[in-house]
Amino acid sequence: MAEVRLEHIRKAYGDNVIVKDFDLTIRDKEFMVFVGPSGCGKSTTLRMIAGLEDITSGKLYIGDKLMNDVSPKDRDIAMVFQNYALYPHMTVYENMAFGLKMRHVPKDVIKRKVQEAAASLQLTELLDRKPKALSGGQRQRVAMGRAVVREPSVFLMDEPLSNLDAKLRGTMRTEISRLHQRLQTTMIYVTHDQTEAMTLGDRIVVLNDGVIQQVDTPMNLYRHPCNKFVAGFIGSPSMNFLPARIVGEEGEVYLEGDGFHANVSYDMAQKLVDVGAREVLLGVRPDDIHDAGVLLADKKEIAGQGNVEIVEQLGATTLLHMRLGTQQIVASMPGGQEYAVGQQVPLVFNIDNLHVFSTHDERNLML
Amino acid sequence: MERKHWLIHIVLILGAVTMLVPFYWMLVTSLKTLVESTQVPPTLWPQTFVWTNYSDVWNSLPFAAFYVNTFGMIFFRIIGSVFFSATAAYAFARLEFPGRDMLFGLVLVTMMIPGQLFLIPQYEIVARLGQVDTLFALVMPGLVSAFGTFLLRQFFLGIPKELEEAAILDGCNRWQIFWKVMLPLARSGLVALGIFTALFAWKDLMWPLIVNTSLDEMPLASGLASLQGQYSTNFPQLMAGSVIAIWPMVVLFIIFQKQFIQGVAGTGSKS
Ligand SMILES: Nc1ncnc2c1ncn2[C@@H]1O[C@H](COP(=O)(O)OP(=O)(O)OP(=O)(O)O)[C@@H](O)[C@H]1O
Ligand SMILES: [Mg+2]
Repeated sequence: MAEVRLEHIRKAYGDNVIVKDFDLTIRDKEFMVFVGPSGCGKSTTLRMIAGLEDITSGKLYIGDKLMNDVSPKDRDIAMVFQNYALYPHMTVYENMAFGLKMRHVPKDVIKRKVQEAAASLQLTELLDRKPKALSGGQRQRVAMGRAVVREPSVFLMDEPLSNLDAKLRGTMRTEISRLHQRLQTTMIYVTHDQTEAMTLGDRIVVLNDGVIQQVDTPMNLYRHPCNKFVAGFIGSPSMNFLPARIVGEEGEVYLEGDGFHANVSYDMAQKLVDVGAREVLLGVRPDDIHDAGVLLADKKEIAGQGNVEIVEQLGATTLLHMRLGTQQIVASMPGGQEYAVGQQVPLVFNIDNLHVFSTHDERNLML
Repeated sequence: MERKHWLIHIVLILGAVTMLVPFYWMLVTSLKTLVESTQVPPTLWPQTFVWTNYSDVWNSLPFAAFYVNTFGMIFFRIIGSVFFSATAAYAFARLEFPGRDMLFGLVLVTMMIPGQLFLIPQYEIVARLGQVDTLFALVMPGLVSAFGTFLLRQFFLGIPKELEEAAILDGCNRWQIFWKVMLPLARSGLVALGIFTALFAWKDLMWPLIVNTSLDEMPLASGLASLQGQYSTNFPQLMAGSVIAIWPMVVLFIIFQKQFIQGVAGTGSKS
């Protein structure tokens, strides 16, 4: 049983408030991801849970125990650091055994546990090596192994994959997923990479400037972002934001802006009528912009003409950087289609997946 | 390319010869007769080998005591300076306490004051402790080293903080972090400090001369100096005494050559 509960946690260095009113319950066995831009306070929050930073105010519970003043070693947690923090003077075996040794676990038990963990992480051959003689991926696995042998009730990981190359990162990501399924332990994982967050997390906390923006499952964050920040942060490439005006009356509502004219779904129309302001921000994901020519769409559905400026062919998809009116937008098209710079592309928006945000406080007006 | 190679070699050979000539001269002179040793022009090889120079000088002075005193002094100074410098350096590098930076500044200042200024207060301390003419007197000024504190602090600063945090999560307390993680990682710094301490203790003449005046309590350096007084003109015996005095250091150097060179050349760069 290890639920982690943060109650109104705050962290300040002098007058500089880094984490504001962080209120969150992480369920037992949950894989929780903290994601946000650099400097938003992810690491600081994780380190407060680990006990490496003092909590300025608020309460931290692990299980049912108040942990604010409990020393890190008694919190029953293990942490994987970004740069692995392996002891350079110890072999892989000693690195993994160290935490158990310090807790006076009998030698034969240590040996068994280390060998088990090593086998599951394909480290058996490397047990006698020093960290210096390992590749980046191997070091990463040793760092995981060191945490695993401790059998903590909570795993903390601070950007554990950010020092690996793209391919290895993909492999390790699935390995971490598998590890979580096997161990069934609460995990808190910090990253600034939204792909990692989406693929790993049971739930994701999106942070900005030390404030929780939204806590939800990956799909809910993607489909129903609570504000412009979350909408822009989750999903790759990022959502397009276009200033728009609500035009028309009940039954015949649409959004109009520089170079486009967007029909909306029936549901959205109902809600738009109730929005006080006329000026809003329309959010369209690149995946929800289609080529009217390919869709054989009705003329009435065309939202505007995109002028292709850059074509990025990724294989399965092609990213079109276009000008729509005076604005830059990105659209993701199927890979088979050929586009040329300067080409005019008639565009259709997927009306079921449009988002509308307040220009005033950037809130999602459709929630 | 080839020519440059030769030039470097010539410069190095010249340097080596310059360093070796005094040693050669010491060895050769120690085997000459008194007359030959002052002959002009000097001879490069002894006409007759006077091995008795060695037995004479050995019998005239308590060399066994000199050795014991020297090695005792070096041993305890190394233990003391490495231990105290490392603990102080760790505190200055990693602990947060009021006045830390000012205190460290004071430590640095002591490095800039000529050592001779400390002779009188140090003598006072030893005298009041009633420890004049003892091994303790020889060891005392070398127990702590400002230089060592500075050197090891640099080493500790170079060790990533995450290692310490990992150790905290692994269950170490402060002392265990220091002992099991920081010290092993600063090993090359400790070795360098040990070597510097040994060298300095070996060469230290002024302090032993002042504090230990009875022959049986002297280290080699001041013991030999007394030889100079007794045999001011007997160069062969003086040189024989010098050979007896330096050979242990030469042997030690040959044994620890690798660490020695690493310690002096690689300070600070290994971590
Ligand atoms: N000891 C400190 N004193 C003052 N400010 C600090 C201290 N440690 C961190 N900060 C500040 O707190 C903020 C949050 O830092 P934190 O390391 O938690 O960011 P992060 O979200 O992990 O970013 P990144 O993705 O770059 O790791 C930063 O603006 C940082 O400058
Ligand atoms: Mg961070």
